[in-house]
Amino acid sequence: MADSGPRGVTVVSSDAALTLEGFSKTYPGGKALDDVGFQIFPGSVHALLGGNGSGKSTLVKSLAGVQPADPGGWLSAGSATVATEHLSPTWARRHGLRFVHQNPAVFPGLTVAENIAMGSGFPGRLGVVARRQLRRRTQDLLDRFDIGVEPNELIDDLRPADRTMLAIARALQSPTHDVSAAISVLVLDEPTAALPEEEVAVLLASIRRTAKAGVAVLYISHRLDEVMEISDRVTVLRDGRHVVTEPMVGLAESDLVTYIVGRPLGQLRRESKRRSTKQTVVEVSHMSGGPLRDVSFRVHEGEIVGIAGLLGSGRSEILRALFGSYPVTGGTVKLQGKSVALRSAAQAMARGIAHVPENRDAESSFPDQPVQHNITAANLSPLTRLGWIKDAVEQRLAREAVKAFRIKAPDQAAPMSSLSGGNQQKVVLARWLSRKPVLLLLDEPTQGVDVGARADAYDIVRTAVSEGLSVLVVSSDLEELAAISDRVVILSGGRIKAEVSGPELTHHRLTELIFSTKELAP
Amino acid sequence: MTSADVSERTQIAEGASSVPPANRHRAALEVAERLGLPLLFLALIVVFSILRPETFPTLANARTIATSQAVMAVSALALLFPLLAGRFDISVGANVGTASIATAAAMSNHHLPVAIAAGIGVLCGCLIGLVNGILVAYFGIDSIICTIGVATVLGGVVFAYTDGIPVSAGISPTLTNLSIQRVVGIPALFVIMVVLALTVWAVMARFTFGRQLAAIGSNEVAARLTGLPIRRLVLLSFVCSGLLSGGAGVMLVAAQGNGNPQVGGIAFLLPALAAVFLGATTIFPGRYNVPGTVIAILFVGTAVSGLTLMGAQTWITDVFNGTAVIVAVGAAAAFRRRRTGQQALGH
Ligand SMILES: Nc1ncnc2c1ncn2[C@@H]1O[C@H](COP(=O)(O)OP(=O)(O)OP(=O)(O)O)[C@@H](O)[C@H]1O
Ligand SMILES: [Mg+2]
Repeated sequence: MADSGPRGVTVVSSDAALTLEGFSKTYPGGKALDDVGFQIFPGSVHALLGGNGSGKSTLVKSLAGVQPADPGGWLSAGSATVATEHLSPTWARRHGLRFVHQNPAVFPGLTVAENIAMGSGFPGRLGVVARRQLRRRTQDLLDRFDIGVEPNELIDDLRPADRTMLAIARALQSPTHDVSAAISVLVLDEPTAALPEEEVAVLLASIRRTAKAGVAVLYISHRLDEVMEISDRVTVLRDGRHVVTEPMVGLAESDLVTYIVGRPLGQLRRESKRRSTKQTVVEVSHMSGGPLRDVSFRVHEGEIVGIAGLLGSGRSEILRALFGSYPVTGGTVKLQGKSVALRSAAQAMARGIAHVPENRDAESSFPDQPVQHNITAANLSPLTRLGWIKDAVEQRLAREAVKAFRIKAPDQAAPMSSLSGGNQQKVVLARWLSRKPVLLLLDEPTQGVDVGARADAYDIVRTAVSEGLSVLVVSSDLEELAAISDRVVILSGGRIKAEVSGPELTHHRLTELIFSTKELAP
Repeated sequence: MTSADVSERTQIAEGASSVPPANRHRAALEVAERLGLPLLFLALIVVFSILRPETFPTLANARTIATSQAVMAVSALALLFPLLAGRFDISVGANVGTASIATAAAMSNHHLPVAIAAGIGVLCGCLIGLVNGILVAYFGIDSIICTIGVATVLGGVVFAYTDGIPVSAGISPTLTNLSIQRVVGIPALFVIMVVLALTVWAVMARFTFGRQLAAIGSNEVAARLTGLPIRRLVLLSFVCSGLLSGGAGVMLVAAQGNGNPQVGGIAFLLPALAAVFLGATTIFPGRYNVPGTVIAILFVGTAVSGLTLMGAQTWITDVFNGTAVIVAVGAAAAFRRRRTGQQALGH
């Protein structure tokens, strides 16, 4: 295997599974990719890193032929070579390229077997589905990938990791049902962005197995720890340009950060404790309902409280209940000393609560609306008079937010869906922080957000916190949770099992607590 | 954050000074996209003027088209509100017909003054919109199915009331004269339509109400989680649709001089439906918009008028309108995909 030299001087090697050369992509707003080229080798995991909007997904879509790159470059897979403008989904498929895009499409309401069949066709004659055959075929596939679900289970009931693995299995199955016979390259665009830590391990193991079988895996993620754990080689993009392609051994996390951001970055650090007063902002007593059992805690003014726990422990439900979008059956909530009933998002917002939900596409993005409307969506009243929206004021507020959050957008009138995933997340953060809330509920706020932007986002949150904002944050990234929270409560089976703060609050301790309370759960 | 790295990492500014050919090509494409329909409209006028120089390019013909399309344009405007919130109001055609019968009957059978009769027509439209809104927003019935049902019921009620015979006696000339009156040379009904269109444009584009409906149409869950009262807003969108349908009904009596129970229903609605989708391919491609809708209505009306002057059979109108709807919906979807960068289904 020949490694490329520094600064992407590619030494073309013939045993590569995939060789890219001169990939560029021009959008109306500018160049999303600028002359990118590197090689991927069979049997190895190749990480593709870069900040939000650096062109990773654009590259993946060009490879897949769904959004062809500008003419001028070429791609070779095995012995076949094709010019970038002639790349098509059919070409990619025929030459053994398989893709799981950012936010893979699953079909809700259908079973696992039906979802799998959507990729490969249903067995049967004359449009009559041979149910038994479909089940058997699906079971084979599930066994081969070690996915512990039933063919007849509804896709909606699956854990996120299983759903992602299913999307991968679906991509990997060949039409002849002979897995990996013709498959040479598997491309995964942020498969772990929405997965909790314990699920990530399951997925990574399955990716490693796939690579062992001789497939070249191109793997995109913003979680550097997992990237370092799994990858053999790494390519970094910045602003659409190739920065480096190197073997992973010998690289430290700080090296990766420097490549990605373009400058070294300080550690995420908790501030000193001084700002937290004893004023209670929210007091939850004996909250029950859904998975929640007798949950009581309080958050003080100027405090960041983290909630950690396994999937299904009720973390998101606590936030949603406080935002009036999840019905609870028992318990009371006191906000600044007053008992409140929160039955709708509107009521919660009126009391100064803001909520950044977990699932951006389903719950917070207005994909076809302009970026600026997405920014001001929750906060129209300061810029309206008698229902009339003051255009100039809106433009200005949006411009300020774009600047403060370093949102990378072609322009602020462009539709939300033309932004990269991480930039969309920043838009949602901007939307809610602009309301100057009393209590901010953050559910996996930095999923898909790059290291640099993550630091920016927490800088902004911290500034607001120093002015008295209280934050309740759910995150599966325990390192991040330990770094930013003043206090973390551990949730297990809907109950609060432990609380850590001060010097005890470390990544290690949190992991320990989460998994030790697991057995205690009912 | 230093200003140096802000400038490094903010918006893509390159390419502004040295526009690559691909970009220039794209910019040209974008202009063509925005102005495609207006240009097609002009071409149509030129072609018909060459083919029928004595009858087509006359002031009289222009006025006829303007007057007859005014009612249709207001009906199309009515469709826009629910559509913005992701709902269809198929009952607009029947609603216009019902309101026109109510207006005519109020004058003809009950000898009410014209202003009150017009008020009854508009109110009738609002009530029908309210019923639609309650059924769709509060009972959760699919908007297409629900409004087809309501439209069918209205057709039956109108027939029962009129026995299928037009209501034409005793219609106030104040109203019917609107079809021949002019404001600085422009037909009065057309002027009324333009005023209504400007109002709807302002509400849709510049008021929170329009913004909120667009949010619902874009992502209903996200809209609820930003505190919007979804049901009330959807209900209101249907009431607005009813209000404009009622207005169109009154204008229909003015244009035709009677209340005709044969007018209204799906066939009546088709040109309006075609116009809202055609409109979404122009001016602001990918979005339902008022100027596009009005241009599209005039385009469809002019084409039909030209074809008629060419001696085409009347069935041509149905074929043309039906085809226009299909082409328009297809084109609107394609433009929207291009703009938002999403892919069509399948490979
Ligand atoms: N349809 C489009 N129209 C205009 N610009 C677009 C479009 N799609 C993407 N872009 C721009 O291309 C750039 C690269 O986007 P891309 O999605 O490839 O980023 P990414 O590296 O995958 O980022 P993330 O980590 O946030 O997912 C972004 O600046 C984005 O705004
Ligand atoms: Mg991406």
